[in-house]
Amino acid sequence: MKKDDSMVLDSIFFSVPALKILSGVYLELHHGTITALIGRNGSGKSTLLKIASGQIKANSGITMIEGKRIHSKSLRERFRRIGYLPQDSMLPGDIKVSRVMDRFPSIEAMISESKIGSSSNQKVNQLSGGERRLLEISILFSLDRDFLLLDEPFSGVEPKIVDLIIDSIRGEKDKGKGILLTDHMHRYVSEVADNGYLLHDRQCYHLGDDVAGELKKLGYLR
Amino acid sequence: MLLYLVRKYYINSFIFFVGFIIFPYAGFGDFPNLFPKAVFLGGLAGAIFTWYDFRKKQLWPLFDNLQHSKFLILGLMFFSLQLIPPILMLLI
Repeated sequence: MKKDDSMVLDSIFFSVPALKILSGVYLELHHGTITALIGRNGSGKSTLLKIASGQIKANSGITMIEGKRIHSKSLRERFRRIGYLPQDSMLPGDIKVSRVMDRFPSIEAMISESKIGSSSNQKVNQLSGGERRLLEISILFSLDRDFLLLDEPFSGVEPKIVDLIIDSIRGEKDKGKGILLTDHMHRYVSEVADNGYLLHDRQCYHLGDDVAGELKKLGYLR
Repeated sequence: MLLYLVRKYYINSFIFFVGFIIFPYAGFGDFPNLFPKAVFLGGLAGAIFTWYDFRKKQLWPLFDNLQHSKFLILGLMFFSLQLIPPILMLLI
């Protein structure tokens, strides 16, 4: 794979007082590929995604997209190329679903198979956790960005909606998007991922193409 | 989403404005003198509070995804409020 087709996080160091979280992390993300980021609780997965999306600033390290360095302050430039789904909900709870659907008309196709479409008069905080997650993912995918960073897209989501989310992630991959996915539901992640990284002991280790096999060897999957 | 932010900012600023004008006025302040100061302080406090409130509710990533610059929007709304005192002065 050509390096200039990728989003690269290189030599990322991040620490908070008295705790080193990331120590020289390297990660590559390619177009048309789903990359899994696996790690235990508190290993720094969400921190790495926040750094990649410019939500927090690394102590040192660089982000490059297609060979061009993205400076830490240029959020606008960064978000021209990436979409970021944070671990916690990013939608205001007190707006109506219908207003969200008016603002993002293209999400209707994705959410039509769920119950969200029929509850458009409800407010966002009246949706179930899974429906809210699906709505957020639909918004993110409608933005048509080259790289998508998904932090726990399956958490608190029922299996039926997980299947919808997995289908749409695969759809984005087929459109040539590069997707970085992290979740504790390793079964779902390994099912959908083309390759992966393990975040362990403050560093990223490449897992290769057989993510499920590698995770079984390491004891992350039975 | 932009309208949501605009609405929240103006509501917050209005609440702060009321606070900044009522208490000094009750202390026998001069209304024409207090008004521009209350608009300035209400707008500033509204911007800080809105920024903090959206941060606490973790809404800023949505605005980042939509490529809306939060500081630019809050700054523009703050300056839009500062136009109220001179406009009123011209009208009165």
